[in-house]
Amino acid sequence: MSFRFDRGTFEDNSFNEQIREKLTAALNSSSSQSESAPSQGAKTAAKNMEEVESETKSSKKLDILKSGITVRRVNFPSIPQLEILDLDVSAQSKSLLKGICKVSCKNAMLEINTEIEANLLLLYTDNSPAFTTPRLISNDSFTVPITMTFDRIELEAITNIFVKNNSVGISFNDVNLDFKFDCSIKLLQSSIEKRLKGSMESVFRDVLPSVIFSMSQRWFTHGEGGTGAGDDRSVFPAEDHKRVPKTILDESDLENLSASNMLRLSSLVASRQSLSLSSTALKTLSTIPGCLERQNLHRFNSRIPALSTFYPDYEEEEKLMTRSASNNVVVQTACKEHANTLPQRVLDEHTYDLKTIASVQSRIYERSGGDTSNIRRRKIKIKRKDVKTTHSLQEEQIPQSQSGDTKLHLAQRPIASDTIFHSPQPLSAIQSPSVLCGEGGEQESLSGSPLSDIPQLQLPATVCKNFKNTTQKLSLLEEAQQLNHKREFQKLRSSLYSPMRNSKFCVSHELESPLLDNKGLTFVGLAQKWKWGTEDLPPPYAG
Amino acid sequence: MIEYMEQVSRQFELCSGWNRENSYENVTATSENLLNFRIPSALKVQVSNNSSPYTFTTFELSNSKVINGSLAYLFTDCEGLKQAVKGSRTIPLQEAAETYRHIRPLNLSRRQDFFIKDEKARPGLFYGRMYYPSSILEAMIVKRFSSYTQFVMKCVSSLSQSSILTLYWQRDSGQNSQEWIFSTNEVLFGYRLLHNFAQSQSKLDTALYNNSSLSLGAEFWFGLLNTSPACSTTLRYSTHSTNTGRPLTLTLSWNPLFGHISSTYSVKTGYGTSFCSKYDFNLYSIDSNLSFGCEVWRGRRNVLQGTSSSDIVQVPEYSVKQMSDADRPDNWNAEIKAPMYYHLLAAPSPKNPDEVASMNIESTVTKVARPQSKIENFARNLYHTDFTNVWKLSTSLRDKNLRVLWEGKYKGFLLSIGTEFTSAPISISSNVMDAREARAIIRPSKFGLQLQYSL
Repeated sequence: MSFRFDRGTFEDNSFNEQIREKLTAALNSSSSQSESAPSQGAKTAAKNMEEVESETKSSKKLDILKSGITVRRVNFPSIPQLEILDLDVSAQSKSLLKGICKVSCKNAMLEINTEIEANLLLLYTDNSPAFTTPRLISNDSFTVPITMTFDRIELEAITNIFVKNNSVGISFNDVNLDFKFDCSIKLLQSSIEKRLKGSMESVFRDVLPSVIFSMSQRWFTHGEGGTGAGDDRSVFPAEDHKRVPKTILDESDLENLSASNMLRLSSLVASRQSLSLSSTALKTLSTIPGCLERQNLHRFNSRIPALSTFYPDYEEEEKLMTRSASNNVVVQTACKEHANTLPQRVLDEHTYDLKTIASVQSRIYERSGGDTSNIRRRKIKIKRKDVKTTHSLQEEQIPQSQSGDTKLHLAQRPIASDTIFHSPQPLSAIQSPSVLCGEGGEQESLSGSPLSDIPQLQLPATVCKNFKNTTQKLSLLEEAQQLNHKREFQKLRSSLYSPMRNSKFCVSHELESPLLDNKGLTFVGLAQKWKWGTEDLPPPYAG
Repeated sequence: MIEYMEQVSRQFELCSGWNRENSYENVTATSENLLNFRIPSALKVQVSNNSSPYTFTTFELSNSKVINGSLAYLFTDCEGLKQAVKGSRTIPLQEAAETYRHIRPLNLSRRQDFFIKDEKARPGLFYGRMYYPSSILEAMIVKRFSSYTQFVMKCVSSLSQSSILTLYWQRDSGQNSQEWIFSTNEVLFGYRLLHNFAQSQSKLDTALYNNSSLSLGAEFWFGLLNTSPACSTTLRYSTHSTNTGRPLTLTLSWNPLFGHISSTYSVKTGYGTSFCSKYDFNLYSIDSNLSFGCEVWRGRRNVLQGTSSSDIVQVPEYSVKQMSDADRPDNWNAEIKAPMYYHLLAAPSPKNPDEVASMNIESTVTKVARPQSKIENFARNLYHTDFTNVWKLSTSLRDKNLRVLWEGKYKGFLLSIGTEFTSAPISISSNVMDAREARAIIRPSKFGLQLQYSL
């Protein structure tokens, strides 16, 4: 959307001339519609009209105008000012642009000339039924030319402009209009002035907006006709002392625009539509590390390691509920708190996986803590006295097993020894769930919990089998980690490859390093063939 | 063409002894009839009937845009109206058409026999008319209160517009005619006055037979709602040409408020022709206008036997066909004897003692007799001429229009066909340039045919 305020049209005298012509046409067209009184030639005929006719026509409004209105002089010495106070390009389909403008125009002058009928009684006798109207002798029409001069017109108005698909709507909020009125018939000057000022309010409230609206509708639907775009634009504000941005773009408009601005705008639009913050363009959002648009926040949140996000199947029910409850899913899911808790159903059905929980916990720890500190995991054996010693031994061993790759050594020690391997058959899983739900996302809080409440680890059969078959180097938790890695990867891909997008994805950085392993975020780009224009709405973000 | 109901109400005034001409409203009636005659604007058919001695009905159909019509009833308690109102078959055309008005000079002595004989009789007229489908109701009540006063009430009632009531209180003493008017339309008040200057025939012995009349009138109006006043004053002089005995009328009107002066000169140049010219001038705006109008009557003329004097009136060029009394309807002779209002001239019978006294000088007898007989002859011949149709034309220089009207009798129907050619645009054009171009084209702005039949 672009418009241009052409100062050039106001600087030379052609502007005043155009106003004069347009005003003359406008004034006469409105008056001829309401004109019911016949002209001089038909006046005598009207007097002798048939009774029926005179009765039917008497309902028409009296008109004292005897001739057309001519605009003699128009002078706008200074260029009218247009100040855009606010501009809002909204993405909704109904209105394309909303703006608040301040229009001011100073020291303008206007002179109107017309002829009026001075013999009022003639008008009344002509327009009342002949049957009851007494005939007056020597009651001829007496036309008086009248000249009205509007001097020192000062206009200041704050307008709301709504540009829609095929029309322009304008409302005037705060209008300050002041002019000096001078009439050639001094007798009528005060009364005319009083009426004019009284009717100004309705002009700005009803007449002007409706006129502009219909005029803009004509433009948008029927095109420009023979006149050029720039020509029309300059005339339009002249007519009503208002300027309306033109929203039609043609070749000449595009030529005059700043190329760098357009490039910047286009890249913005592209990134808005595609979520791609391409790193190739300099000084764009994509180069800012850690920058994230709010629309993608829910996606980001879903990838934050938490217990709840790890069981998306169980989360599905909740999502469906929100979907039905509100129409805007994006906002709902984005705003949703990702509590680091297991869903209730998981606990009820005992489908949780100890390894996944452990991995999640470790990753949370990694994200929150620095690289320097290592994770500590405490294992508590319940009802087993012989294990207790190994348990303490294990605690001692953990600090020793520090290495660069924290992930691989996450829980190497407990897995390595056969003795402390938790039995596949949980002894007492009953007492665990509530405590786990309530604990925080940090490892420290876990360790602070009562020992007796630690749930029994349950190892799936496949993992158990794998563990026996694979080499000893690969620990169980590491295995789980890899498994998670793949799973998460797939999940992300499936969510991004929605059927609504047929364009190609570029998944960057994913293959080189595991997802989310460093502090910086990874951006999933989308190389979409974007189009300039606002008729293509961005695709819905609800993944 | 005078419509049937208008005809009846005029005859009512005539029968009840009310001089319609002696009113300021009709002070310029002659020039109005010759210049601004009414042109029908649609096809209009009127059928009228004198259903009973006291009631008259009219049914009318017209097609201006849509077909509409009207139904009119009239009731009067005036005696003898049935005989006075003539049907379209028998009415002379000069009575059925608006034409030159002969002004009867004021003669106080003769006034008595013109008024109603029975002072007690106060005839009234009640008239109602309903238009459909527009459902407009017209009503009129005319009531004589004394031999000098008359009350007229007119009202229009309709659903779509405001109803209007207009009241007239008229007082006519012969020399002075006063009228007070009130109308609810714009709360209009009016006062009209017409004064006839008394004749002083005997002052100059050498004076010829004097049948001229001089009248001065004025009107004052004030619309209360629109606070617009209006006034005008008019001087009228009516006389006859001494050589040919043909009447002529001059009026001079002045509107002091708007500085409007208009003068008219109307003359009946022959049996079948009338001519009128009018000059308008505005003192303030120096606007002027010159209008011309003329009438050409065509038909058979009948010069009565026995009235042919030594001065034979110049016969117009068209063929003159004698018409015996036997061809006339039965009531023809009676009508001649009856004091006809329209064509009444100042020619009194020698029985009139005043006239005899004034003309008793032997030298003046012959002097007076000659023009008098000329005037009388002209009037009588005009009255007895059996016209069949009339052409009316009028034009105006400022308005650049031409108005043509043909009125005539055809098989008992009264026909009226008219059109107006105008070069000025009817509605003001939106563009000044367009208006100038449109002004060059002369086109008929109006065309109509009116058909009238009455029994």
